[in-house]
Amino acid sequence: MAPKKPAKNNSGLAIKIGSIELANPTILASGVLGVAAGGLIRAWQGGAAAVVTKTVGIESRTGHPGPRIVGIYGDSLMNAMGIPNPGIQEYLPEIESTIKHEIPVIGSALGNSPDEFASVAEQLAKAGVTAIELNVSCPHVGSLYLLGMDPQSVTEVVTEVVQRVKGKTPVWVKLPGSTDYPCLVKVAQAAEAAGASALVALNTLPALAIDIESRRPLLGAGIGGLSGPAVKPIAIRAVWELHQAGIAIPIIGVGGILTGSDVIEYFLAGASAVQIGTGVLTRGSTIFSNVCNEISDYLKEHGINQISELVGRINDAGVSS
Amino acid sequence: MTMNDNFNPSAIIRPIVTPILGVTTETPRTKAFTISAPSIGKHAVPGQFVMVWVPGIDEIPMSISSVNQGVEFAAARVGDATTQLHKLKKGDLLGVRGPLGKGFVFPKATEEKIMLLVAGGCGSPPIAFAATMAIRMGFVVDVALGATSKAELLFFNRFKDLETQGVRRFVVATDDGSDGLLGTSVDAATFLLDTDPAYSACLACGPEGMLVNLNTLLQKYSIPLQVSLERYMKCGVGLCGHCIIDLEGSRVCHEGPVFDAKNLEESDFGKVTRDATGKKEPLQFESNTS
Repeated sequence: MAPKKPAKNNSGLAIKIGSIELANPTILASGVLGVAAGGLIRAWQGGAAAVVTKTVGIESRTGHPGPRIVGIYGDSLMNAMGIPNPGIQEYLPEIESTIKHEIPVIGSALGNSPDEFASVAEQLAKAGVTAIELNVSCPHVGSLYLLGMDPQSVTEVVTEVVQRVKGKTPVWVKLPGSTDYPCLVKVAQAAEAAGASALVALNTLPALAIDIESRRPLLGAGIGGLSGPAVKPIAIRAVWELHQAGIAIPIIGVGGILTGSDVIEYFLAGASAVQIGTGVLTRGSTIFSNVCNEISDYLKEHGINQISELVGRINDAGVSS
Repeated sequence: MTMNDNFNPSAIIRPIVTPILGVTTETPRTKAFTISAPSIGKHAVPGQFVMVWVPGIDEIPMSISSVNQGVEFAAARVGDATTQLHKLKKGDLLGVRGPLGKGFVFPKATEEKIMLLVAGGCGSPPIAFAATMAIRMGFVVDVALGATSKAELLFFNRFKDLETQGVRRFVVATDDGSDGLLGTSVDAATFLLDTDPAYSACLACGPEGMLVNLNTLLQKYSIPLQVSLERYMKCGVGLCGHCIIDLEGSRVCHEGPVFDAKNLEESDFGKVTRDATGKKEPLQFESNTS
């Protein structure tokens, strides 16, 4: 059962993230559909130009007890999956089954130390991933979130990983969901200086929701990560702050994208690509091709040839951080 | 901007927390729970499920067994969440969200209206709901029910009562022979097929090995089979991908849990399942093909 490559005739959508060329700017975000090869393939068939795997570590994790997701107004939600994963060894066949169809796969890695991050990254690189995304920012796995808010720790992890993959596989760093923009800039600068090829902004934001009947948190883990349209303005501000701060490596925007307009907004703030996760719940796995069509319409209406022309082109005279 | 016509974000991703209306002991290890959730009951079709939140423990998928007097589901005591669930009484709080997934598709009214329903072990809940619905829709219904022993025949009395309302033949089988035929629900189905194989459809739920064996049996008669599958579910709404069973990305919680058996040939059906970490594990069962 070889999946058919989806028809993509949207001109002007091709982008580059460093050395990586993608047919369009939409990428499946980590943690969505990515447990199995079939889910990654499904997102690609739905129009995603690349797919990020479920975050995997050396050892397996069962994740948090349920409820693991809960709706928060409209199309936003909170989750506390707890990064369930079978461990990199068990997961490699899912990656291989996906890459076999010439789908660009970004391997998402976690670790308890720079060495563990690097060990996972090495195995992902060996499996042939297009890039590695370091999850230093899961808001419901406490140690990871703290790591991503500490520039020194990020420096250590990125340095080790870049060295161990010998600079052959690009390394992306997924930044924590936070409104502490000065801290995010410091972490981003640390990642860039240590050799990261791109930044992903932002992970879900730390949050809490309470059921007023049982007076208990609505998620099994208690706290969780907020995603969807509610976080979009925060992530766009983060992208803009990073761009303003002179970060030279590409920024991949993520948070609350449901339409092509949302993508344009991210690009204007300084993003060179985007990831979509929660939107898959709202618009299904074809959200990627739908969003691409909407971007094309915008480009045509505004006489723009390439979406990449819009990166950082916000008219922000008078806006200061 | 909706994923499908039934998409209702608030109902499917946020639990309704409500007191239990009633608890009944159905077998030595299974209890049925009824809760008041009109927004779920109104839209639910047989084969759909709810995610049941046992506060403080976990959230687990449960097939809906009835929507007559509130939303009912039946849980065998198998793990932490169901053990705690079994301690709960009328008035205690439960969270529930749904209805989730796709249910059984009933054949069109123009077709032959004789249906075979097969339930094995803990598979009775969606089949009981389907039987009630099928009778209401005017189908002639035969039921094959199997369990380890007479005491474990889940919803026996409920199916028995339906004999006066539209169930034509009701055949049971037990592993220990304590009631009905000696054997499984597939043996009970075989008995029914030997007598009259003119079924326009078969709907089934039970252990996966039983469903595989039933599929092998029904292929000989060219009777279309719909099966309700069980997999480890985490989000219940098709987002996390934990319950994907093929390279098309079919999610048991979203495209399923009911599938046409003919569409499962290139899937994990009867082959592998995933544990809580996502690790694949082989499914083991006794095959009736030799």
